[in-house]
Amino acid sequence: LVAVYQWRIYDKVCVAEGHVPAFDASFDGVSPAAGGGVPAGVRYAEAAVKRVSAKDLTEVLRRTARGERAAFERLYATTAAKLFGIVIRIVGRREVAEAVLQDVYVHLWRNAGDFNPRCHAPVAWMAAIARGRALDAVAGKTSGRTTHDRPEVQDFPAGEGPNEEERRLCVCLDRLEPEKRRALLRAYCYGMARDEIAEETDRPVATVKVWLRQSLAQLKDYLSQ
Amino acid sequence: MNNDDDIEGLAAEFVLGSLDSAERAEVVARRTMDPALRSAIAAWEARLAPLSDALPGIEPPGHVLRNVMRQVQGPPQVSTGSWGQWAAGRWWAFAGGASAVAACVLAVLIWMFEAPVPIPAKFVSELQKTSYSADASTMALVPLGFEVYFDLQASTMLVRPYAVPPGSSRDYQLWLIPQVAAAPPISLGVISLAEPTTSPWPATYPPRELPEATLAVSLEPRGGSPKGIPTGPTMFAGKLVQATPYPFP
Repeated sequence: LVAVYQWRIYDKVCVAEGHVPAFDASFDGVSPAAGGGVPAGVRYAEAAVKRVSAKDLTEVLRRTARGERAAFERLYATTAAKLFGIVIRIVGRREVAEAVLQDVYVHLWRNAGDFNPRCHAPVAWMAAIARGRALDAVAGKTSGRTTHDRPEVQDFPAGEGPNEEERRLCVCLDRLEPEKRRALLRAYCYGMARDEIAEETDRPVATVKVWLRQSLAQLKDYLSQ
Repeated sequence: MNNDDDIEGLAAEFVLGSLDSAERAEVVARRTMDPALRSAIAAWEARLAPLSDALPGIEPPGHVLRNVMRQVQGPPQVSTGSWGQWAAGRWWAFAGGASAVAACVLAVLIWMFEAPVPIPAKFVSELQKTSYSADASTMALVPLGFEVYFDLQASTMLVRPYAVPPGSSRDYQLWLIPQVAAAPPISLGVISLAEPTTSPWPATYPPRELPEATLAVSLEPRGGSPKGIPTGPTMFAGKLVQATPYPFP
């Protein structure tokens, strides 16, 4: 009963300064039944991620760091759906995801000054924080999470991404062996630890570790070519 | 510290999310002291970020924003709202008889020392084993580690060891590792392996930053590290969480 859905890139929030891709209002790549990788039983409203450029978001973060509440509210309005999507796929439970998201934004309010536009794209920076918090929240608490809560991540379509960086990653992912690529995507999207992947695929944990390390090394290699 | 010197692989799996909780805690503890690991993690975050971008967002319910905004009342900057709260507060009665200058000084002191964000009074941390030596297969079955409770109201710290083998000629020392990358670990003292020990909590660390901090236990020469920073391997590590009520299962 694995729900299969196509991964489509429809809400590039911001990747590069001055590059604001068109918002695909007629997005239909994720079937509501499959839930776009959303755990079963989670009701959701499809993302109302507002378009905002990296430049604008950098400014919003700068003003948030100065303690401007209006800027912080705008930060939330433009990024919360993105971060909530990331968090809920990893923690798998709505109430936990809400607590984590709350925690992430309180952290952003206090630490917006740590953002350095020379080192990171704003959304990537925030996504890394959200992923870290979500993974911390589920560390050692895997009992309540089951595999059928995690729809298959089938295709990360090459060539459709609106930005060069993403297209390259798609191409590189496609060069991995299917089984390894699947393990890597499931670890990333759902924060699945090696032993969970091992159980799901009926392989030894050591094999999964080798798969992941090899595919990550290959990815790095391809990306640097 | 684990013998996994493949920093690159460790950083990559840390970002990917496939490490188990003990390995993850180890990376969190280790990256504060290891610039190479830190930069490897940053590079992997950048490499894999396009994957996050490609997933659809999901609208969170409205009460999350309301809860967030309630928690971010008051400073960083002084707003009129905060002044209103202070005026309504108990301190105003104390300041009543004082001169305007004294009231201003008091207000500044309160602003500096009284946290405007409600800080949980109790924290707990479960410190798990971080080393994966040859005995990993048997060790995994035995619960090893410490529980640490901070009670900020009583200013006490309780360290409870469970099933920790005596460290022969060496001592276990507890450290608070601030989240700020450049900040050095703060020693919380050598810990007793025989029984739970309560000691005063050094109040110098800002309580609001506790949820960001990591606790770690290193193996040190008798009497503790001679250098004021961890010198031995990190044996246990864990994050501090609010003791109760805690929303996670």
